[in-house]
Amino acid sequence: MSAEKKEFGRLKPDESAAGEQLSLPAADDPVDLSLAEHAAKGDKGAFERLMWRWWDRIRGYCAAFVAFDPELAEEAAQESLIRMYKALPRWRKESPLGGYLYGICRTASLDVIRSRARHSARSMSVEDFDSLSLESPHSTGEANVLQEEANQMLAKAMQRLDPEDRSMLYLHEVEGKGLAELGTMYNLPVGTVKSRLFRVREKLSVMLKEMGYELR
Amino acid sequence: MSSAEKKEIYLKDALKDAAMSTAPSFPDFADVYRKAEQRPRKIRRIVFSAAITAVAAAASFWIGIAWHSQTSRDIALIDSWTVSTAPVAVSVSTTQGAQNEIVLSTYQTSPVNLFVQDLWESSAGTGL
Repeated sequence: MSAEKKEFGRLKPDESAAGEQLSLPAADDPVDLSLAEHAAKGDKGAFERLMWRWWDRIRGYCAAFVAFDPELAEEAAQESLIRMYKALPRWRKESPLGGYLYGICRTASLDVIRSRARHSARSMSVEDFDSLSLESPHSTGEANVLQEEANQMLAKAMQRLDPEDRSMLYLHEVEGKGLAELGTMYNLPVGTVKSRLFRVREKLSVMLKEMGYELR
Repeated sequence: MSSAEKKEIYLKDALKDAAMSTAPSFPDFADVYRKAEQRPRKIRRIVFSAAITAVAAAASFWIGIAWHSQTSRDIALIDSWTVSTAPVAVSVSTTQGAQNEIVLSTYQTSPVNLFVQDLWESSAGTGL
């Protein structure tokens, strides 16, 4: 792979999309579907089992959406669960469960950010993000310190991105969501998703470069 | 910073690490159920206060209308005037009985009606 390709990753506007990326959204797990059907009928046990199966995806997505702010991430994840519990009875079986759950997380996280901004308890301004400390009291050993520092730098750079963009990047990079699936979830054409992901990644790469990091 | 010093960030791993280290570890289902049950009550409370406000607004509107039309009824009292032959005299009555008598010289009823009505309206605040 060329150095340029390494730098900006897999997404280039002129790059022909890989079959996997343009494939239709992955089918939902039958276990999840069955649990969702029971949960929709008010079965709390089924709801909890479904949420445990989805917990890492929900909390990861919410954390990425709120730019890795622990307090906001907790609030967003909890709010998402409440909304899912209330919204599951209205879920139509023909719509993908994953898209439905991520959609709830998305609106819940967005509302949490808006509500926080409204109350001005904490603003999401760049100045605040710049003031983040790089010291971690829990770090032990040099490797941990470096890892911690890298994570904080990434978080800092991510905070300067649009919430929708960073959540989309997270879903693509970590959850492996394809362009078509993201397009369905964000109600955007595949081409727009592709160029948006490319721009986000490029922006992130430039910011990290300024901080002395190279994005891989 | 030289290229040797440049540190690398593997996006996928770094995103995952950052997310997992900042996200809450466990869901609080008790809180979920409690808040989910509280919300309809909250919505009902909001709907109830909105309904009360709407009723109050409608009531004050109709009271205002009724209050305003009260003046028209006062004017309607002028309908009780009496017209005599020469000279033309108009007696204006109020709820307390006849209080004033206005002598007008005209041969037509219609201008007299209008004149009295105008007079009543212009002096409604201070009396005739």
